Amino acid sequence: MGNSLRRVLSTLLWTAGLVLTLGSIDRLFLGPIAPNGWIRVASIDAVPAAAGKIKTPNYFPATLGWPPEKIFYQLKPHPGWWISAKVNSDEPNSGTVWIGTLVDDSLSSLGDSNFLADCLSIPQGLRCPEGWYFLSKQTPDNQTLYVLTNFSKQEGIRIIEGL
Amino acid sequence: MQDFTWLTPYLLLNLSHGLLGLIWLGGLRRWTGSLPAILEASLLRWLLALPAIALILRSLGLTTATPAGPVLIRIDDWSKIINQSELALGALLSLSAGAALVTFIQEILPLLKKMYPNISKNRQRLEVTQNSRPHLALENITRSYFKSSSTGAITDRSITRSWSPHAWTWKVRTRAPKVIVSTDLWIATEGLFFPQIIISTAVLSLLNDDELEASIAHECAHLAIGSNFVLGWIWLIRLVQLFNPAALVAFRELVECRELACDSWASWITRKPEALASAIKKLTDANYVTLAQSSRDTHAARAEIRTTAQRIQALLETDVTAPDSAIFLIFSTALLGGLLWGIR
Repeated sequence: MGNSLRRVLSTLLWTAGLVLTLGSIDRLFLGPIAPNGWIRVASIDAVPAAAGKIKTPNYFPATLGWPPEKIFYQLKPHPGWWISAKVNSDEPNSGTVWIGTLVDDSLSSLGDSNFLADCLSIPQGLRCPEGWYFLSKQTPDNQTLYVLTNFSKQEGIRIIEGL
Repeated sequence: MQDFTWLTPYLLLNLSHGLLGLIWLGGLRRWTGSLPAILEASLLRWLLALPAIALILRSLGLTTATPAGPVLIRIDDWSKIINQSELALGALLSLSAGAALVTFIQEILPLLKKMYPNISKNRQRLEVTQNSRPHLALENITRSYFKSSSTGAITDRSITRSWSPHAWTWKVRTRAPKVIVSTDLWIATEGLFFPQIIISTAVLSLLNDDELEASIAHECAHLAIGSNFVLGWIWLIRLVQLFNPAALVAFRELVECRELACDSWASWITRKPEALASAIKKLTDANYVTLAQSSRDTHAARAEIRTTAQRIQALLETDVTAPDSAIFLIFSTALLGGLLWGIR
């Protein structure tokens, strides 16, 4: 019995030691593990570079504030970000602009902003309510930017061209 | 130039699993004292199987890209680092190719020579003859086995299940040993689905009754632990990891360990470890003389002598004990599985 217990304890300790060593080596060289899914942060500075650079738009409707009200980023499964700014009003349909870089299935886990997922609705296609416009453009550094807004289409075009 | 970067995660995953498994097992041997051969053989089997299963699951896309739960080693991230360095990628590919080449030359080619007479020039047409000595030896072994079982020497249910009187009768007793006329020293289990013990007349004239009984008990142990059918599966698992040098090492260790495990079983059944040690020595010495005279495979013969010395030492210096409990095997296998799951 004593021998068996000694063997079990030795095995547990050895395995635990290996786990700690391997985990430490991995974290030492690769850094902490990136969390899965979308994360909301309070400021643009909190978005890691690996998610992509958030550029301040050259044009933004005057009624909207900057910095944006909602900021989300994701590193895994795919890197990307979304920001949202809304006209300060009690009206639920007041002017809103969403700017982002990632449109895929992971949007469904964006938490309290499921409007984005419902509207962009991968893979069924766009299902935004009437009055919303969805635009995209390719930047010189090969990044795709998306704008979703219920301002006028012209405003949407001005915003996306200013990015 | 061909892009091999897509291979990196698979090669790295399998190599990491194999290496970690060997390191873990080595530590186990060091820190828990020597492991019983039967236990070690089982652990080595899992050590070979689990990485292969992980590789197959990943190849089929059945493991998620972003794994849930704690991760010890992030294979995808390490793969990206390796792919960014031509030197690192080249080293990994060379290591893998080298492992495959060694496996082919050292293991697959000899197996093909053994299986296909057209390749091997030494294959003889075998004549079967009658001899009562092996049958008497088998009856003695069966009596000893049943006596050990009934005295409660085996208490572990997983062991009694595979060694139950019914299983023994089906696996061992119904497969009467076949005696072949041959000057080659030949005692082995042959056949995939219905294996049988084959003994050459040269062996019968070399060994005395006790040595013959111990040798047949060793072969009975092979039959009872799964014999060639299980070995066939191990080979398949091995082939999945053709490019893994760690799997090469693990497989070699497993083959040797299975022999030690069967020696252990045979000693326990017959209570005559000295007889088995003597039989092994006689067979090996006679084999070496033959091979040395033919000036062929002397390296293989010397390697066999080193292995034989290990086996004899284990037989003579280890106490004859009943087979080990399966509980520790289940526990340690679960730990190994958890450890390997952390690498993905």
